[in-house]
Amino acid sequence: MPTGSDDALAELKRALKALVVEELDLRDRAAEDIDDDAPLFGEGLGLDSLDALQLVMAIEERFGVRIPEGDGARVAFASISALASFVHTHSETEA
Amino acid sequence: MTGVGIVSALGSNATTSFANLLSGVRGVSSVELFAVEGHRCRIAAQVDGLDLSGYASRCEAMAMQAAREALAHAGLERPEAAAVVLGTTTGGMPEAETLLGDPAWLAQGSADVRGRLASYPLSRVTARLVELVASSPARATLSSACSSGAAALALGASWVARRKVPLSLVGGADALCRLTFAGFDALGALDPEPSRPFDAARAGLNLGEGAAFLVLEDAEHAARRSARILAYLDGWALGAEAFHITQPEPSGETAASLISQALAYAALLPDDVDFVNAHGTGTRHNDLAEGLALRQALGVGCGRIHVPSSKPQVGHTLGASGALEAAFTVMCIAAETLPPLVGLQHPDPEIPLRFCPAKSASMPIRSAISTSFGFGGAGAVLAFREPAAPAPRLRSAQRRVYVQGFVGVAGTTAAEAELSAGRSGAQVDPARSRRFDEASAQVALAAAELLDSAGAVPGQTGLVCANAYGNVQRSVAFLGRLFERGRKGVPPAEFPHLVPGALAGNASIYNGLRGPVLGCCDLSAGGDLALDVAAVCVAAGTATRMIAGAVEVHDPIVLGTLAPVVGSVSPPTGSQVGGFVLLGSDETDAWAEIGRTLCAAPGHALSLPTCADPRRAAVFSTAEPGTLSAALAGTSWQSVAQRSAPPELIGEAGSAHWIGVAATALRAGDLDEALVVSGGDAAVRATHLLRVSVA
Repeated sequence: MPTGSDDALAELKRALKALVVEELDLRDRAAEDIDDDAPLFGEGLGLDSLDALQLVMAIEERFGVRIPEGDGARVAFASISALASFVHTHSETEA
Repeated sequence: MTGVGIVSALGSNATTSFANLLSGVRGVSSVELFAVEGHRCRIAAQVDGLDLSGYASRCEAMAMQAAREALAHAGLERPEAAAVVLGTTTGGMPEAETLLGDPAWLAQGSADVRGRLASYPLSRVTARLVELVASSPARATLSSACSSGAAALALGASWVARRKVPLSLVGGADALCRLTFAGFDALGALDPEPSRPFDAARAGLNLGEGAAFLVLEDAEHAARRSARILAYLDGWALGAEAFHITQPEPSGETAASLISQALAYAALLPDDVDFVNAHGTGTRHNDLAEGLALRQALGVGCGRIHVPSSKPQVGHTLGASGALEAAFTVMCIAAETLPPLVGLQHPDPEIPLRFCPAKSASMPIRSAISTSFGFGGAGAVLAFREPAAPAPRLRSAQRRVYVQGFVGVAGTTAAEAELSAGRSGAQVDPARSRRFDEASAQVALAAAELLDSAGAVPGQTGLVCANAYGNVQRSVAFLGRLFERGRKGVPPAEFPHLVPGALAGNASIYNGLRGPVLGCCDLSAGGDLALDVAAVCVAAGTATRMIAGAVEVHDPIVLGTLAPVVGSVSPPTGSQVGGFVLLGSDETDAWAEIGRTLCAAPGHALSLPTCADPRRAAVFSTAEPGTLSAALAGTSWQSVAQRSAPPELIGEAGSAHWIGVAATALRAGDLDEALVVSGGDAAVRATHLLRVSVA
């Protein structure tokens, strides 16, 4: 994989972490402290279904991707890394 | 209960609505009131052919029509004295939202449409309803999300049980608006098809609009005038789950406890119950949790007790739903009819209840209960009994009520900081207060400090929080996104924080408060009304302890745009004002006893209790001087020393603070009694407080 893509992915992760902190009002968390591979829901960040809806809205709007409902969303929202790959892949194909 | 009035998608009066309910008619159709492009769901239960002439809003028109019908049905032309209680969540939002969501208009829009904002305050509708009775010594506009209408019935009944009034005109009203439609759609809570509560394939609710009013009358009063009794409201329970702002508690534990409490209050056993008019919205989580709650509370009775839901036919009418479903329940009891449950094809095997068939059936109903659960976990359960039963002997509502603590809410200016009585300076915990606005944070903190100071058990404590306007800026931002970017741009997690009851709901979840959790949304009646409502909950045994108060934060849209149109007393020009007191029935550690609470039209004298010794009494006022002197004219309080509140406390919420200050003076023994007076354009109110050893 070319370096440019890795850089883009790292940048995307940073942007997604900032978006998560802002959209979900995680005032007690610093964006850079969020683990790339920690689960976003349940354990991990402890987010719930309302947070999921808010994230879907914000990510679709910010990155111009469409997040599927159901199992597709579960895969995309597994972690920050998974979310970044999803956004990276789909914003490229849709662009 | 001696009168019923209904406006719904099934008809413009109770008779037609009820007949259509029994025939299984669905009032759901394509939304025509506003554009719903881009929404997942495009259907709702709308009220057709509403005559709006003479009314400021759809909500007002529906409420007035239903209330007039209820009074006429009860054979009352214009009752002498009656409590008026309205449950609602959106009031004049349908009329105001296109203005509030338009930044260009807000910046410098044409003035000719500004009058539409006059309908914005929820209590505007209550002010109109009060015109239907000769005098209204008790009135309130309650907002506890989707249980508002049922809570209104409980409060009206409590005031009758406390012998404050011989009868109450109580109900709920809510009109469809873009804000709630987009909000529920963004939450994925709306079924694009006609809803199917308790079906395995259920996919959400349909929104609706409507109003329902009931006349609740003291049994002796009804007997004296030979009124026809439709049913008895024998018991009720109000409480909160303290679980999540939108998700119901999955175990259904709190809901089950409320059902049991309502039955116990009514001295009913599950064996006596013939049907449960379920909240039954049709969302996956609600129906599952409600099923579990019913099975816990009713036990083996679930195999026999019928379960209908009227929501597939009238939609979920939000603040009206509790009253509308109570009205249908009462009519079913009076008509000896079991209502239907339409739309159910394949009952969810995980909800093993005895659902009603899609057709109504003749059946004598001995007693029935109606359940309501809303955002923030606010629940209300009402228990009704057949008219042939002996008149209920409501549990004595004469428990004494004491102030047991006080904290002030003040802002950041020096003058405001002096008002921060009893505050520890603690900050709100960020992890538990996500998405709280400043007012929510203040209420949550004040409640936490009161609980701490008195060692009160959160699970047995409720909260009444007054707030006249709600968070207008937040609603404006939400509407701005809806109108600018369409439904896709609507932030789902914002929506549940826009309901006026969110302040109380957030504080309940933050602190684990599981008693009655209610919002009061009356202009110029802040803390004193919250105290009145909370006190009757304690007096009637609906709650062990209650926190009551008010908070208003500085909001430039309220200050600059709404208040001048509405003509309310000035909202805070500083950052925020308010105060909260803790109430309980235990004399130990009591600061002051709450005597009578009074309310009159401005310019009229209050019928006050005699002041025993004017030298040992004081009047604490946040009312305008003219309003105050008119209220005290010709009473023994006329010559009593007056303490006027500092300018920071003149406003909707200042009276909450001033009640706390008066209680503090009584606790110190400086006074034997105090009268706290507040008021503005809508009403003048007084709270009589007594030193405990004197009381």
